[in-house]
Amino acid sequence: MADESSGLLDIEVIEGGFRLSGEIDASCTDSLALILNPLPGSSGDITIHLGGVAFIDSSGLRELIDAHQRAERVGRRILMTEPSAVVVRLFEISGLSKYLHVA
Amino acid sequence: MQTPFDQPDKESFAPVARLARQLLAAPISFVTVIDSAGDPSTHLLNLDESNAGDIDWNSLSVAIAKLTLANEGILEISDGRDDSSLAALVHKSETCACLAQRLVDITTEVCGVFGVIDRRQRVWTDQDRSTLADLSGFAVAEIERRHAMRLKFAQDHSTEQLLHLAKALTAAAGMEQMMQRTSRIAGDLVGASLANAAIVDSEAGDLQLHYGKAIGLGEANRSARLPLDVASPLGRAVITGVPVHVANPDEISRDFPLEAVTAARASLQALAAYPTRQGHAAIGFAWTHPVVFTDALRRTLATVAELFGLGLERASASDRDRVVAQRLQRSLLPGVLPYVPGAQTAAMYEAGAEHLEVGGDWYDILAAGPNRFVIGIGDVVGRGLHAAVTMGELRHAFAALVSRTDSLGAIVENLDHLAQKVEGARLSTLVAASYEPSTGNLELISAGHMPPMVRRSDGVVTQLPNGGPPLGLGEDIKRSTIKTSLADGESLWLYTDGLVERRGESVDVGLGRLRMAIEQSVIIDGDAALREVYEALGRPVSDDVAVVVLRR
Repeated sequence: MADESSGLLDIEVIEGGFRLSGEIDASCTDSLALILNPLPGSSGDITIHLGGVAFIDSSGLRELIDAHQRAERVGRRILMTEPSAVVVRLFEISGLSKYLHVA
Repeated sequence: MQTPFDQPDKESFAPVARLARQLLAAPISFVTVIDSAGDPSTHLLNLDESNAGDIDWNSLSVAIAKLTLANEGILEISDGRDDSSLAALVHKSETCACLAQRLVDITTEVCGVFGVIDRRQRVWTDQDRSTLADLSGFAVAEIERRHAMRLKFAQDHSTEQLLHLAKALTAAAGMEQMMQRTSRIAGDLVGASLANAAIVDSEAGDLQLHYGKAIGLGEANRSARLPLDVASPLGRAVITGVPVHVANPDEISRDFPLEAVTAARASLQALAAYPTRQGHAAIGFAWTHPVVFTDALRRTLATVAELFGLGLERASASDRDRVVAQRLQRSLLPGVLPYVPGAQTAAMYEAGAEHLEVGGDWYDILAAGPNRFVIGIGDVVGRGLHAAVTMGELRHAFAALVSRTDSLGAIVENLDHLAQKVEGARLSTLVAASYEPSTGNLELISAGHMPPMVRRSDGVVTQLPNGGPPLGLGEDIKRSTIKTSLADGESLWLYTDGLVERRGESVDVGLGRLRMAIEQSVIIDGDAALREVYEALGRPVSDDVAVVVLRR
């Protein structure tokens, strides 16, 4: 049963990727690693829908970057879509908005 | 029965062992763990393999461990050739010195030995002895943690969920998080739709509650307070020390009439509360259907309460360790900042309030020539000893690079390479700044770090642009160099994210708050000005904070 009050991360499988909502911090990097390592499927881009993500801390960022790097190595791309303003700023401040594929 | 906690693996002691080598400037350190029968069960040696030489360090350190166990307290040898049992193990041409101490657990049982070995004659100082004593605390905590987990695990059935719970307990960073996580996982385990953990607040005389599971409860209601009386299942469990079982709505009305209305509104039909063995705390559950409290369910609930009690013990032990941890962090940071001509410098480090372990923030100011100073500030991902060790490595590498090259770009590039190789250093952030006292000229390079701020002479604070991504992302990372200069009375502010980041708000809000605080600061004196701004921002709840200010 989904617990809407929780700050923890919810992961939903969608066409071509995942929809994440909640907070991405050290407590959920294991679950993130579970879906992103190894990368799902064998080819093509992977979409990570970030619309419902309210917060990402440095260990969360690290997990996303790891996935990004794994994808780049095999010629695939991770597309981070619909990040909230908070997440967009976080990417900018961290110098990552040009490094990651943010749509 | 095999459990995941049987072998004290190298990994779990590696940070404290490496730290001992680093802080005591000794090439070798070791940990010996004693099993319940009183025999040394595991001996872990930590040394730089490339520098091992032809002495059998393993045998030597085992011999030292034995000597230490036979001794009272600390074993101190300045020249290994003087000791008959060690002399045979060191070559005639070489000697060793060692400092080792027995590890004593909370029950005052000897649980191991921790020590360092140097490859030369050495007189150990008071500073060395107190550093080793501080670090021994960490080694004991690790031994106790594994021991407690192993005991619990062996007693209980090894369901995946319980393992998960044990993991959550070890990973949780503070009391509140531990309580939330434990009750959430425990709630899932017994199919409850509401689960919370409560602890007696002896100052307020009531119960502090944290919810792990609660459908429809908003963020603000994840914590609550409850009177310490027998009108609620949790209160009753804490006061009587006996588990409370309420199997259906009739029993709720009968046993807890004051709870009945709330329970009915939330469609709760069964309740349970289990006290911890240590007292002063309990874990509570509610179901939206009647529950038959079978023996199996009762056992699971009791086990969960036991684990919760262990988690609480560990969290409060961490509270005690926190003082030591902060001292440790400080010993890795520069003590006295160099004199910068025509400028004032100030720096501070504060550990997070909620997190009980050391963080990975660091800073340094180094003289790089008669008219050049290099400032560094950085943040390593993660917490605890791993982060502290990595932080120490980065800071040392930074200092070494500053002495070797005049190019700020080359310093950052080299740290970038280092961060790719050292696992814990990946995604560390950094600002390196070069300052010329005669002109006030500044050059800065940022690697994914919070933007530096400059307070101009008219009082307006400008935020410098971002330089590029964090360290260790790979080749072909271009970072721009930012150039500016400080006029008299102007100041440069470097800081880590803990100063501005607050959960649930955009980082811009925090940056705005910092700009405002620096603009409104009236104190000129370095340390006090820094303190004034820090206080104005309010204490961060979770992250550690480092701030460096340079004022011309």
